[in-house]
Amino acid sequence: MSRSEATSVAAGPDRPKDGAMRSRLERTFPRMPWRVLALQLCCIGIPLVLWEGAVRSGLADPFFFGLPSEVFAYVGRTLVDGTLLYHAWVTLSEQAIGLVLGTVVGSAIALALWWSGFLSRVLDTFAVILNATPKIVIAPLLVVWFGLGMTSKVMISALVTGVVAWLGAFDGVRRCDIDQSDLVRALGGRERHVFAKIVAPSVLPYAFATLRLNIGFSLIGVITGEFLSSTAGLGYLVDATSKAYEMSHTLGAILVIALIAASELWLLARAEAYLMHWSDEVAPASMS
Amino acid sequence: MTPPSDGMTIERPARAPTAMAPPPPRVEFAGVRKVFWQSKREIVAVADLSFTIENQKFVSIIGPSGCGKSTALKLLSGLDRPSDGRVLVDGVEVDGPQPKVAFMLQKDLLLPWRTVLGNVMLGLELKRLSAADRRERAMALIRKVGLDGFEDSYPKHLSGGMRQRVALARTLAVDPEILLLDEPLSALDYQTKLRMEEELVRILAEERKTVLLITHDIAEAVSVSDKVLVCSGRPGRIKAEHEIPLAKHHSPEAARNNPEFVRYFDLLWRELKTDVAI
Repeated sequence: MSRSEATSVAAGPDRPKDGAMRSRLERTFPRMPWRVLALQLCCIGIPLVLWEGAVRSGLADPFFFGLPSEVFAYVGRTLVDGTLLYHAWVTLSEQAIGLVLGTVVGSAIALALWWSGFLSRVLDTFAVILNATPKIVIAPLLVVWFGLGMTSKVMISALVTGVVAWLGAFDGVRRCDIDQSDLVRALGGRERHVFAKIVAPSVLPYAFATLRLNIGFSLIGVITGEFLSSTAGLGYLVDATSKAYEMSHTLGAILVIALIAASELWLLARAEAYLMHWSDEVAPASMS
Repeated sequence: MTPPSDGMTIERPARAPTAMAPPPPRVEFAGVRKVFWQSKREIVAVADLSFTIENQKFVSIIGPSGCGKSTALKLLSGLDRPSDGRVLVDGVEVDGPQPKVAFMLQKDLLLPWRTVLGNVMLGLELKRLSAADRRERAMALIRKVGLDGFEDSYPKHLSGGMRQRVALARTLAVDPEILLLDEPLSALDYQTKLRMEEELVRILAEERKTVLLITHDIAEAVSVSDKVLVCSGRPGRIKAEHEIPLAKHHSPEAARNNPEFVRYFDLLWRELKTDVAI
């Protein structure tokens, strides 16, 4: 048997898999078929038109239901003059700082616990109890401790996301392949090499999964905090304007909250597709 | 009274001088026993495992599943310690992972987040080498296993056979003297398996490696090995040892075509089947 025959890999049933040529950029920004886009636009557009028509024809009372065109006009106006932008900025920064803080601290705890099986067993019970307890009940306490300003909302967001990040990352630590770790050890690696080359990369998919959850959780936390007591933020705006029956303003604020959540999820999905391009799992369905 | 002396013989010291002693075998298992605890029950994986492997020999262990074949591999790679007895490499007791010994399993253990090149360089990153040297050595091995052009591919795009080639290159990269192979080809389809067998034996002979192969495939054991050890069911021990003079030309295909092949196959099967529960 000639050497070239013996070492060629393209023949026989054992071929490289398809899709090897799809670029990383294409995976990060997959094309959306226009029919899907068109139908999605209809899903939003038709109810809005019906709503507008119902209010204008007198079927629904604008005092309770507002008017879509007015909502958009309000959002446009206040974004330009900066009032809505200010409230959106307050909420966004509270949420984002808390989310980053919670994710970093939570993941760091989980990764640190890889080094000690004993400590991780001790702390595991508390993490599960902490996770099962609705963290929102601690919100009033945090408002008392950290005041009416942004700090208390940042702390709520960090607490809510931190526990989820801890449990998620620790799941990744626990599920990392023992044989892969043993391979590094057999190749002469020390525990820090096992950590850097196997454990840390193994946790990455779990970190993305928890981030996806935590975007929603941190928004809930921050807005609940703003409902409780605040002088600024989208939660404050929703609370204040709904009590004054300014429906267009309430709906406008809700719209901006939804936009913040949607754009964060979109960014996360892009980052995940880019950083996890090596994964053979299907990219997450959300916001593709 | 002095003993009679012919004046010519010199009194031999009790132990032969070291220069005269034959070198210790490359690998030696001496009365190895390994016990595991599973929910407070003692499980004896291997009871009394003794065998040796001479330098540059290709030795296989065959036996029913659960006979402690993989335990032997863990002990030899230094990832586990025997409960009793001694595991020696070049006459020195194994007390942890060492650069002389490397293993390759049925699971290829490729890291999905690394390219082919990155996977092959894994072991080299733990050595004091310049980045250029690492890359050069890894690329040479990638060519050797026939994967040039695929060095920047990720494992998800490789077939099963290609993945095992990468695993082989990664194993050879650290230049071990002893290779432990635990059913490395058993997950492949039959055609690919035969071709990979051929290449594996050729490459390992070229590199002058000492090999311990663990397998349940009698045909594979007969066609690639210099010596086959037959292992009994749990608790495992070696119940027979056969020199196989078929693999002289380092070609499993030639060995399978040898008329003697069937005789050895039959011999091993008769020894093995007493332990096979259906």
